[in-house]
Amino acid sequence: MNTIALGVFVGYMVLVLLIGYYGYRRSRGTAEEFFVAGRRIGPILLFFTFAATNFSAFFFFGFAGAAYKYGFGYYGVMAIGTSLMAITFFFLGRRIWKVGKGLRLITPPELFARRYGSEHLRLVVLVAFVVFTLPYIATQAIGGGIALQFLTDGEISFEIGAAIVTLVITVYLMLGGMLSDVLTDFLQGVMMLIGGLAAVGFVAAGLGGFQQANDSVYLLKPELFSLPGGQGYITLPLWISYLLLWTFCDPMFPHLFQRFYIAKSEKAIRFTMFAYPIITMVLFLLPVLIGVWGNIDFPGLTGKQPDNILPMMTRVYAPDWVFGFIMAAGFAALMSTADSQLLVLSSMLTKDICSKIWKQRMTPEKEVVTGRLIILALALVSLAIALTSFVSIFDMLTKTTFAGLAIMFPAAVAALYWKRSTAAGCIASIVVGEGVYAIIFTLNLPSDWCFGFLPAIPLVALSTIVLILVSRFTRMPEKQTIDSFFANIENGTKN
Amino acid sequence: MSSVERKTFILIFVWLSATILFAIFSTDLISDRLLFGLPWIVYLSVIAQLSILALYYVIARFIWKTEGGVG
Repeated sequence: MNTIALGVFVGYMVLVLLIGYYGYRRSRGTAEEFFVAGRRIGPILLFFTFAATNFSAFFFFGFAGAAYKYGFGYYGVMAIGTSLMAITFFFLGRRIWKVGKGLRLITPPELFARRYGSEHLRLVVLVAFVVFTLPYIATQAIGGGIALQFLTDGEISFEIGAAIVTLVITVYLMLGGMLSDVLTDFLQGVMMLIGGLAAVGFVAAGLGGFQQANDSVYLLKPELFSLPGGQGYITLPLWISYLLLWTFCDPMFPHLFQRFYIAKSEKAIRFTMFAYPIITMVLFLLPVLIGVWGNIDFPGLTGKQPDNILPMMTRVYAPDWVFGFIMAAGFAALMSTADSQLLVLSSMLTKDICSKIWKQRMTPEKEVVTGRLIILALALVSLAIALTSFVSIFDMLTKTTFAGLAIMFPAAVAALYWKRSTAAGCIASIVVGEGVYAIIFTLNLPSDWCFGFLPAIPLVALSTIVLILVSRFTRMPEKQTIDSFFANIENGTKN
Repeated sequence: MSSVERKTFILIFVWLSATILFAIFSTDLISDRLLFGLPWIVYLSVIAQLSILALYYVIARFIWKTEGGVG
C-alpha cells in the first residue's frame, strides 16, 4: 500500500470534518440557516460552491477517459457549453434569487408551488428531482469506493471505501448543513484546481514537455488532434447539442437551483457568472491533456478502463505525496457534488413533504432535526444502492439524468417569465416530456434517430410546445397569486 | 421579459449564431497544430470562452448594473 498517498488522503478527510465542525459552530439553528446558509454567501464562496458542486467525479475521471478516446475536441465540447451555461445565472438565477429572498423559499419545488398555487405541481417537480438526483449520489459513492480501492492497491475494499466516503460526507453535512457544504466546497474547489495543475505539470515533465508529449501522441493517433476526433464521435450536431444541453440542464440540477437562494446579493450571482468561463477555460483542459497523453503509456484501453487513465498516469509520473494529493482532489470533486445533492434532497423531503404533513407540529428547530435525520437516511439508501445489485437500474437512471432534467427547463422559464402559463401546462410539459423520453429510451432507438443530435434537444422542444398549448387552454392561477410572485421580480430587491 | 433581458437575449443569440457558423466553415482550419503541439481546436475553444467572458463583461458592466439601479 502507498502509505504516503494514503496519509495525504486521510489528512484531507480530517480537514473537511474540521471545516464541517466550524460550519456547525457558525450556523444558527433554523431551517433557513441549515438549508440555505441564511442567504448570506458572498461572491467568492458562491462561485466556488457553484463550480465545485457542478464539477463532479465525472469531471475529474470521466473527462480524462473521454479525451483518451475522442481527443482534444472533447475540451471544446465540454468547456464552451459549460461556459455558456452560466448565462442562465443572469436569465434564471437572478429571478430565482429575488423570488427566493422575497418569499423566503428554501427548496426548488417551493418556487413552482408558490408561483402557481399548486400542490400537484410541487409534487411532480419533487418526484422528478428525486428520481434524477438519488442515483447520482449512489454513483458518487461507487466512485469513492473504486478510487479508494485504487489508492490502497485493493487493501481497502470497494465496499469499505464507499462507506468511508459516505460517512465523512454525512457527518460534516449533518453538522453544519449548507454552511459546512459551502465551506468544504471552497476547499474542494481549490484542491481540484491545484491537483489538476500538479497532475499536468508532473505528467508533462515526465513525458519530456508539452511539445514532446503532443508530438508522441500525434504520431500514434493523429485523429485525436482534429474533428470529428477518435471514433468519429465529435460531430457538429453533437457539439451543438452539448452547447444547448448544458444550458438547459445545469440550472435544473436541484442542488445548483437551490444555490441561487443562498446568494447574499445580485452582485454575488453576477461575479459567479463572470468567473465561470475563466475556471472552465483552465480547469477543463487539465484532465483532457492527461487523457490524450495516456495513449502513450497505456495504449489500447477499452470499455471503462480509460476512466482510470488520470490516476494511472499520475501514479507513474508524480511523487507519492503528489499522487495522494491528486487522488484527494478527485475525492474532492466527488464529495462536493454528493454533499450538495444530499442536502437538497433532504431540504425537499423536509420542507415539501414533512412540513406539509405535520404542519402544526413542525417548529424551525424540528425542521433542522428532521433535515439531519433525512440526510442520514438518504446517505444509507444511496450506500445501499451502491453496494447492491440495484446498481444496474440506477446506472440506467443516471444515463438519463441530463435529458430528464433538461425537459424541466421550459417549465422553469415559464414560471419565471410567462404570466399566462399555468400549473396544468407545466405538469403536462414535464409528464409528457419524461414519458416520451422513457418510451424512446425503452425502445432503444438507433443513435441517429434525431439526426445526430442528443435526444434532449427535440425533447425540450416537445415539452415547450406542450407547455404552450396546455397553458392556452387551461385556467391561469388567481391574479393575487401571480402578482405576489412577480412583485418580487418586478419591484426588484435592492442589494 | 424586461428590455434589459431582451437586449441580453439578442446578444447571446448573435454570439451563438456566429459561433456555430464559424464552427461550420472552419473545418479545414482545425486539422493543424500550433504552439506546444496543441491543435487548433484547443486554441479555438479558448478563444470561444474568452468571447463568452467578454460577452458576460458587457452584460455585467453595461446591462445588468443599469436595471432599476440594482447591482
